[in-house]
Amino acid sequence: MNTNLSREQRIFNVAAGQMVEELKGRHAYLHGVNFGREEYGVFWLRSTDTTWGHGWGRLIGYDEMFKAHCGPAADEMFGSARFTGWFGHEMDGHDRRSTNWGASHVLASPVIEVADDGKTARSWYLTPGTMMNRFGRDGQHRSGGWLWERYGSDFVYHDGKWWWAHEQVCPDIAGSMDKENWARTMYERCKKGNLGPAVSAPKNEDHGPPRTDKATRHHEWSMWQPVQHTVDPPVPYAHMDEENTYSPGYNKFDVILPQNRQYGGDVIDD
Amino acid sequence: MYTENKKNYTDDEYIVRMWEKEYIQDMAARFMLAWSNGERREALEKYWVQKTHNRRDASFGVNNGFYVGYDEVVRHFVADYEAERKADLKAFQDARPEKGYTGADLGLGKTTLHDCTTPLLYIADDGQTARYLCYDVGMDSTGKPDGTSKSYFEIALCFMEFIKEGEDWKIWHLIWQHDFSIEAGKAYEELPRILSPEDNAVFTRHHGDPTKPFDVYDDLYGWEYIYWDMPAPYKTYEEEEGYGPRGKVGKKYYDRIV
Amino acid sequence: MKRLHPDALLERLEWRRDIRNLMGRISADYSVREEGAIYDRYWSHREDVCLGVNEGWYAGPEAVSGYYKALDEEIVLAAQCVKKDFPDKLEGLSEAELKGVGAMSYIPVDSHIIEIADDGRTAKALFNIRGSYNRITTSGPIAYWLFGWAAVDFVLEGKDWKIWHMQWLRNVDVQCGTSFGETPEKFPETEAYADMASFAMPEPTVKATLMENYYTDRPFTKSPKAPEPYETFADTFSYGL
Repeated sequence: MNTNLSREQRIFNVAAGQMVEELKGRHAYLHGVNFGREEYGVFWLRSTDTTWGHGWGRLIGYDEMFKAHCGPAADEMFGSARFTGWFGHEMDGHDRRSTNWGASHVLASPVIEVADDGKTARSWYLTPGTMMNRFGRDGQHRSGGWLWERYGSDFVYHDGKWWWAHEQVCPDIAGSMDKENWARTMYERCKKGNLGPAVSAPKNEDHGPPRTDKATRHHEWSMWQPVQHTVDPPVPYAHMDEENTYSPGYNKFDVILPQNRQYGGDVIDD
Repeated sequence: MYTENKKNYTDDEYIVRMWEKEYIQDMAARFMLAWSNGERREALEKYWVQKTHNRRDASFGVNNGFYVGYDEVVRHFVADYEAERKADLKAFQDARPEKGYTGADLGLGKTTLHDCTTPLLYIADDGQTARYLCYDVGMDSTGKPDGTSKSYFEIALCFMEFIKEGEDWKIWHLIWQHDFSIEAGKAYEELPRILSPEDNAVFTRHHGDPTKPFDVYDDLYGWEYIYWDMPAPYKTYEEEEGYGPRGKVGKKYYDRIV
Repeated sequence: MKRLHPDALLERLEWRRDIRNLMGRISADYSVREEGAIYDRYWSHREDVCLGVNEGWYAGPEAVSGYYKALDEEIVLAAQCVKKDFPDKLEGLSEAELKGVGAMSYIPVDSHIIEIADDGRTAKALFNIRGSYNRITTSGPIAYWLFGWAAVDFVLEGKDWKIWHMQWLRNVDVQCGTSFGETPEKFPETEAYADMASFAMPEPTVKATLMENYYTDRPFTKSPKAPEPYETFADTFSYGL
């Protein structure tokens, strides 16, 4: 906490911390139903330096990020397309995006810092998250999936609003409740000498959405995976720079595309 | 979407408003803690509405309906729970008289967690009500006299509507949309998509016999309506938009189109 | 709800963020196996600090720092065992790179209840812990679910909040894949991990039962008390010894 800030700046920064919590919360619930349009289309910064990273690399720029989350590939990735084939008319009248999807990456252990200049904010969270589904992989059985990740997120204040600019997802451990022991499962995979397909973060370059950056990776935990500092909690900072970002190389927000006016524009006073 | 605008408040008013957000989140956590600790009667008395007209409208929603009115909330949240715990204790006492369970507190062999992770909260512009959502990713274990337990990871969305009574915020309406009961030590993926009556009884054991039964939440189709139900900035309380029994939660899409 | 002047509320809003950040940083340290740094980073170095676990208290700076030092030693030893088991995968790693290999520890804190004293000198907070961790044993790695509590007294030192007393309690600490309170599956001991038999956490300096891990006829066990509004620390209860 910078104690040299003016009272007005302090109020602004406290409000910014609450806004970060709000955006993270809205994301958690909307992602839980695969409502990409309602989050990435609404409160993400439309910038060429907007990025979204996962185990498979980074989506670079708003357009690439939006396409991955809101295009046809997203439906396939989240499995919604399968349901019609499986259940036919049982699905009629139900939203295929949300049906079955149970990825509630709940948010715990927040660390939130707002820059002294008030132009950016950064957050770190853990998710002890759920991935359970009523329709498992075969459509006939349930799924007891779970997925625990670390998140580094950067936010930018622009045009009187806070916008989400960077996300780095770090899938660490995953499994299925609750017959298995996830450490033993991984141990046995490692003893066989072949990790096989990762549960949460495909290591195969062919997996994951089309993306510009395939080099920035975060690997699932295994018996021989060294500790990864892909996202460390933010520390108090003066302004965003290469030392204080979750997306090195993409911190210039002077090229900002027109924003979604519903969220970022003038207040709609109904 | 109506967007909250800081310019409507003075700096001091805005600070108080931010403080109230923190206070309400803590209060939700206090309620969930008391729920976890089996202090259910105290939780209602301490954190729920006190005024007669608010108690008349107080409600507790579950997947199959709403308990409406404070006394009905007590019936479900306190009386049913205490009856179950008495039966559990009697089972221990009957099966293992040599163990000296006589005089043991209710809750022998029981442990529960109600969590309030991922809070999302908006206070109405008029400062009189607030809408809150959290995910209750908890657990519930009941020991058996034979040394086994029935232990579950219990997962539910929890909507709360707060109202101000004088200077105090109180819980007015709560909806616990139960998503999963996953038995510890068992493979959930071996259960069929449509649960057998026996497995479904495990899932529905928390729901009981609501005052106003109706299909508040069809867990088979997940959070279909969360975009419309989740808290969003709002000006003032309107019954049809709220979390009470005449509110929006539980309405199907064809009932929401106006 | 207590009414304080907006300036006091503003300061408390910042402090609440600081306190949550501090606890979040501890979770982060667990996730990257830096438990050994927790005492130096977040604890007060007062003489009357104490850490409570299920089996008793680590009282005083030496005992508290010794607890975290032992966690660090376990991490180093475990990595050496993992290297014996997977030499081809881990050869060439420096000591620093090797540290932390083989285990993952997710200890999230959540559902906070925070009270800051009216005098602004101390604060109290209760969090639940809903985590999972993987311990390297003489049988290799074994994963556990953990439900517990972090109950903390903080003290303001200069501009920084520091941990003064903490109870770090395990309510349900159960091997994954086991019904709570029941006997877990045993895994065969493995030569590569034999050295783990030499490791033991230091005993608490003050033996006491703060909480029993869940068993199927355990008396009903509540969380630590939630903090209540208070004026000065003398007016409230302590999470310490």
